[in-house]
Amino acid sequence: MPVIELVGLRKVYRRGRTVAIGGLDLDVPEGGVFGFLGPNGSGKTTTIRCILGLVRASGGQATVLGAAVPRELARVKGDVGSIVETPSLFPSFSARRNLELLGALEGIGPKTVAAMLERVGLGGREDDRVRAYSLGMRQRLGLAAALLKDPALLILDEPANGLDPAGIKEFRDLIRSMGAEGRTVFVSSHLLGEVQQMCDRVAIIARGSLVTQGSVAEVLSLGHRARLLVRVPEPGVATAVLGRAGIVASAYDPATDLLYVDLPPDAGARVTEVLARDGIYLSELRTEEVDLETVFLELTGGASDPAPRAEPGAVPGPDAST
Amino acid sequence: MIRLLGSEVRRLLHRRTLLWLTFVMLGLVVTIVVINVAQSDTTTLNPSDAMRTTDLWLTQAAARRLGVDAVNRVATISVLCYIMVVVLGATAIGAEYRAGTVTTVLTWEPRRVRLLVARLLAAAFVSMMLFVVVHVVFVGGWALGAQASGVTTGTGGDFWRDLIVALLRGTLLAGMLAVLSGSFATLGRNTGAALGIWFGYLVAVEAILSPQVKATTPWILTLNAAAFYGWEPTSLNGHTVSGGAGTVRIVLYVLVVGAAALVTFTRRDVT
Repeated sequence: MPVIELVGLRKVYRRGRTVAIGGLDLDVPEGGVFGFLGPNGSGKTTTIRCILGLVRASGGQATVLGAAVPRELARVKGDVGSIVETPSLFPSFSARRNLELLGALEGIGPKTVAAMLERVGLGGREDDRVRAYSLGMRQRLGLAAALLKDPALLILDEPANGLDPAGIKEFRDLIRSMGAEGRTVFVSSHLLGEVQQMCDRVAIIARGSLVTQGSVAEVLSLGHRARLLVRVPEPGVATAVLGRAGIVASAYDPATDLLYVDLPPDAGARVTEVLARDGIYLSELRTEEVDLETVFLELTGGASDPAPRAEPGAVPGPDAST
Repeated sequence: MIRLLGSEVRRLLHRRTLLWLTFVMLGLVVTIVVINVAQSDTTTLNPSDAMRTTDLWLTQAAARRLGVDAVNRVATISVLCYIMVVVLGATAIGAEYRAGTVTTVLTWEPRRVRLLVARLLAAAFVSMMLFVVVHVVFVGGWALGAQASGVTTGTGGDFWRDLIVALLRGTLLAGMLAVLSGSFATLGRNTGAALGIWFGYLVAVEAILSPQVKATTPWILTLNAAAFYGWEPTSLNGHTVSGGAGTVRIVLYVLVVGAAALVTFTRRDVT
């Protein structure tokens, strides 16, 4: 049984004039880390708010741990921990007091609160007012609040916001360890490199609808075929030589000085042979890496969420030289 | 529900707003007691008489506005306390919206009716505590002054019984006003909106409409509150409201506004 199941979930605003989620179907299996990706405005946060019962869906069904949302959500509330955007806690209270007040709702005592604050790296700062915390510290505090219930399902909306590189790595390790413990971690993020490293499965949405979902390998396979990247002294001449041999060099990236050759990764020997025959000796030959960011941009039409990738430009003519 | 209520009460008790409101009220009460003890002679120092001879303009003006007998000083201290209670009720709910903690708490307690009821009850409970503390200090101040002077004329069993019963009604009224104020904050989603609703109502309905359209007078909040607290027929603009009628109307207002807040809170998206 999926831990989170969405069937035709819809959320519209302004009497249907604005569609935030337009019939979203999603299955999140039990255990592991599930990445939820989409460009800005694609409906990620709205979906998470619907799952948590914060926003009332306009149509469709959402089920969390077998409980229908929002009617039966109270039954599983002790098994679901969450962060929605920037965690909101009382700024004039200390971190410890905020967590103790929340913990009291589930009978969680001060010792567990202290241990959790230590675990997220806020030990020693637990009695400072939240107002004095940086964004990264607030994220850690939000994570502590989410973990306080020792939840079977963790729902995290952009949890790495505001964390420094060391904090992001620490956070990634923590999330992976959570998934390895048998919990289900549902995480939305625009840090696609992070998602690729820590997630077992991903779903990509755009304009409120599911584009694809599956294991990371399955989603990566939806991208364009990996090409060969070739570095030669005269890319224009090399392009012409390859063209005469029926090999297409479709792009050239002046920033990296690499030719993009439209051949599969196992055809490297042929490129080497053709170029060498004409006295062109390559200094680098490798396979293009198709990462999640590339696939994401291809599937969502290059939406603005992640930092746009530098695309190779036109192939130079035969008289061009480096 | 007990855990939730306990957590909400603790949350309120830790608010600095409550601390400030309590300090302000106690400071005011102590000042009034000290000034009046200093101005009194042996014939006016006993608790019974002293509460009837204070002529501070603030308490008199408040008493007149309420339609309460101007010599009933306990009621006028209560009016100041009710203003604090209204602020407390509004901020108990409004501050949650301002800090965005509604989202966080709803992920711990998704049953919205239960959550809002607990919050309103917590606001009522803490407001009633504030009311009791302030009045114990006020009445205790007079009693100590009188005891020190050895003048306790008119402070027999009847005096204390009537006073305690009146303060119990006053305490209940404090709780109901806090619920009303908290409900306004729920409808308006912040403290300022709740206080704005109160201010708008007092100006538009009680100060402008009621004197012009006298048929509305029996329904105005302050007249019914005064009738309930004093538990005696109370008149304003030629209309008299009994203690019983005042009670029914106040309870009705709390139920109607509270129900509107509950319906709104359960249906509204939390974004």
